[in-house]
Amino acid sequence: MWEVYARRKFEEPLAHVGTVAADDPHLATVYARTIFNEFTWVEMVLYPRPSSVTAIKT
Amino acid sequence: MTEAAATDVALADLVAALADNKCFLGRRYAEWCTAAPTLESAVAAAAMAQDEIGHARSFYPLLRDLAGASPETEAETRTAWTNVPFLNVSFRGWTDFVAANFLFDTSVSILLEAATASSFSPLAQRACRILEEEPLHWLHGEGWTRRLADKGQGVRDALIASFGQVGAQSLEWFACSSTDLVSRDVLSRDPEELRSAFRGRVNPVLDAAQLPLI
Amino acid sequence: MAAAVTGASDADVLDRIRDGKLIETVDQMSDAYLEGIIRILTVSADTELISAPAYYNAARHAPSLNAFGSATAIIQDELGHAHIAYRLMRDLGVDTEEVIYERAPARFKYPYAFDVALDSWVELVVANAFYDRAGFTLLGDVFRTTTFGPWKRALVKVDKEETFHLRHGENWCRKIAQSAEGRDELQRAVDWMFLLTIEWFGLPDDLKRHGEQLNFGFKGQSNDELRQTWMSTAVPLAKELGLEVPARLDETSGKYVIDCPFPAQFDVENKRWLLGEGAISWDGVLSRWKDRGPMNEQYVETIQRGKRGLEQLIAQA
Repeated sequence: MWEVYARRKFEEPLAHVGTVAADDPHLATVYARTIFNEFTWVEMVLYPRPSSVTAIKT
Repeated sequence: MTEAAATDVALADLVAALADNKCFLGRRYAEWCTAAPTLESAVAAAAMAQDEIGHARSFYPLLRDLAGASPETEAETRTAWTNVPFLNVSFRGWTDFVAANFLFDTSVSILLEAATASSFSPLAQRACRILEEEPLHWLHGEGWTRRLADKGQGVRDALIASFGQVGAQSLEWFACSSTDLVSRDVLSRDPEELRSAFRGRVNPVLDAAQLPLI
Repeated sequence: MAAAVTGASDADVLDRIRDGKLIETVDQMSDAYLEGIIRILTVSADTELISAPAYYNAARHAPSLNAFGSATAIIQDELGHAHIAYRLMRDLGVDTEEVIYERAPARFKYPYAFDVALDSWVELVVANAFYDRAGFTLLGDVFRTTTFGPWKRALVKVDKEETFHLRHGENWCRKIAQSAEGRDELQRAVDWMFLLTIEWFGLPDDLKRHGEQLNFGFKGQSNDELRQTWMSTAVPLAKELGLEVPARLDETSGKYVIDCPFPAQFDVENKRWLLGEGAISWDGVLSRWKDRGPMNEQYVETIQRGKRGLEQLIAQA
């Protein structure tokens, strides 16, 4: 599983837009770009899911 | 027949080959956007189908300019299709899809790469624009090739059969280039040079996946 | 359906909602909340998923390559929306591979309307104008009121894209309605598709179960309210196109009323309402839904085909 982050403007920070399931970064790239195509992004970054640590939760 | 008319025919045939193959590749991809083995690749199939259809749509008006307007230069009324034979029928399974995606889609890109500096500027413009979209198709085809090669002998056998058919037709398809088109700088590579560039692109992936080379 | 282990009581969930917080993870859910949210996500995901083969069947009749491309774009969106809902279910502990690729066709939970084949381009664009409007109405309501954070955020995309679909339907309907033959064909489509979309919103409020859908904030409007919302734009559209639909605005109540026997018997083979036989009970409708319609098996088999094919090859070795 990959967490997908993207932003529409250079002034904006990356924001979480969703997740995709893929065995490798190449397919994850294709899937993220074709599923989350609702905007013209200036940047999109994928992180493998287990790498995240929750620091604050309310 | 004058020499100019003869070269126009060659150019029109090249544009028709690009238009028809893009059109049918798009339609075959679209058939699998409801049947791909993962939801993610179903979405990707739909996206790639649209890319191909969009590319075909950009080539038919060019064909009309070159061959003169007739029902044969419109995608909706054309009957004398020039696409490769394997695109005449629906893919039998996902390995056929991956073969078309990894091999044939790449072979069309290799041809377009030889047209980015074409003396026929409408072709050069379209080639440059289309090639911007193709890296995603490559990633999908290459990713699935590696993935399927790893799925056991049953899948490998089916993949090898699909690749055998599509690979052979991809190589044959490069005959739409010619020394005539190269001498006029319409394309920068003749059929043999295109085949060699194609092999240089796909064989490292096939080799790493221990699949037969093209 | 197996799901993750919850960590809260119903009272905890309601407290959290009252505090203006969203529910983010399973440990913040009660069993009833988890079961309810999975149920409503399943309906949403299945509906988006099945719309893909339903729309594809009709897209093959597209009048131009350009139109075929637009239809494929809509199918891509629908699959993307299905993907979002299934991924959320997966995070809630549902085995979505099993749910998508191994579930029996009759166990899919989507509106009966999609079990009736869309056989032409006209029927496809009416589906965009009616069915996608129903989806937009339902998901717009979820977007505004759902207490499940991950879904609320994901629906920004869905809301935007469903608007595009129903505009696509409206624009094509306007184009087709310009000729008399086109209007006749639209009328024939609307004749069977209008009431199927009215039905889509489910049991009327006086017969409705699932009270927790409102208590837990899974949705904001009741079935009848959602039906009204849909009619408030669908009926004027039909009027603008010069099409007859069995519903009108009642000036005194300000509400839309259905002007024919409803619910009614549907002759699915001929895609025709047997209105002459009078109204039937909702039990009759529920039993038709439960039996599913003619396209159910074919659509589900299509969706499961690629994965099945690979599994058969794996099993051969």
